[in-house]
Amino acid sequence: MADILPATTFRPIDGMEMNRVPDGAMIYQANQERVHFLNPTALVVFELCGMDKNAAEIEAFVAEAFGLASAPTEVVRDCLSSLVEEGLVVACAPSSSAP
Amino acid sequence: MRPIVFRTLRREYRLHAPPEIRQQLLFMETTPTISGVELEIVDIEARLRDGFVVATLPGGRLIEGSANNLLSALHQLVMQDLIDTEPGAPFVHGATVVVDDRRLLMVAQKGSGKSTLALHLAMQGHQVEGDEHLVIREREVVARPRTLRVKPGTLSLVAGLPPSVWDAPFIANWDDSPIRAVSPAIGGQDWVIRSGRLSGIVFLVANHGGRSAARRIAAEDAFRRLMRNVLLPSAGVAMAAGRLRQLAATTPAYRLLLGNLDVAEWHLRSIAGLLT
Repeated sequence: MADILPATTFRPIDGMEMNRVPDGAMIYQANQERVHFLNPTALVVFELCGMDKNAAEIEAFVAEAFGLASAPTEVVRDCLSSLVEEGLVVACAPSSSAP
Repeated sequence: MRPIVFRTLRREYRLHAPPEIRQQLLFMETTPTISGVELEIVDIEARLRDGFVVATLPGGRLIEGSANNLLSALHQLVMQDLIDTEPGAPFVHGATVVVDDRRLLMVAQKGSGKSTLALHLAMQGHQVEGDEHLVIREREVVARPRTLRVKPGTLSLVAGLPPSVWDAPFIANWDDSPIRAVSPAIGGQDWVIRSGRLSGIVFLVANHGGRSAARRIAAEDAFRRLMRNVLLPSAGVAMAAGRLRQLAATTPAYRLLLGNLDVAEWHLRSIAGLLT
């Protein structure tokens, strides 16, 4: 599993096609000829990866968006790990502004 | 001599061939009525030169070789025609049949008995629209025009076939056994292909020699099974996959263990009775 730190940021890989569907999105990775389905939560996390947010900021956003009492650290990091392992995003060096 | 006619969703190809190779090329004949479409007529001339078949296809491709070479090129032509006509559409591998006014897509892996069941349904008076691909358009579906491709074992399984089925044009399989091209009109009804709504999806699972049984499956399961049986376009893959997901989410899906053909038909009619 990818090592995800709170300050780790992410970048979607190039050359992907995305198509939104009512229950999430389909992502096509041309270089691997693979199609992925992201559910709504994974889609939110994936899109935040493209906005230069780090892992801690993504957790905070998801907590607020879904009205959670505490940050869903494990769930979000599992999701980020999956996105990294599937090659949909790459982890970048931790940003200096992260907590 | 009348030409050999084979239709796609936008064209009627008329192949003019000399008598020496006509019987072999009749395998291409595909003559459904494509409802609501005025087909463009395209003539293709095939002739013999020094014992070889020579033909120029639309687009200028020159074919020189055996009748089998020409057949192979014509199959490519028909497939490319479909891809060009339906850009961005996923094609699901399956037979399309209208049972009690409900259009059902029967999806199956090779050897599952799809064509055998389609032939049985045609003989029972159901409207078989196609036996190879269903084109998933944005708001409707349409079957790819293609005859049933039937192996000798199938003919012995389906009751009531007319003797003429043994005269259907054929090509040789890898083991030299014939694969016959049988029209969905074999049961006596017209072969008509209409675009429209899909009522249900039925995934066939072979249970040769056993009983037939059906059960409803979840949309997520249906989507996974569709993805295993789909031809996606070379561009706009995510869009096409999204269209497939939408289809799985909005169309009731079933798994049919395919054994006895009469019981399988009973299940399909029961399923059709549940659908709107």
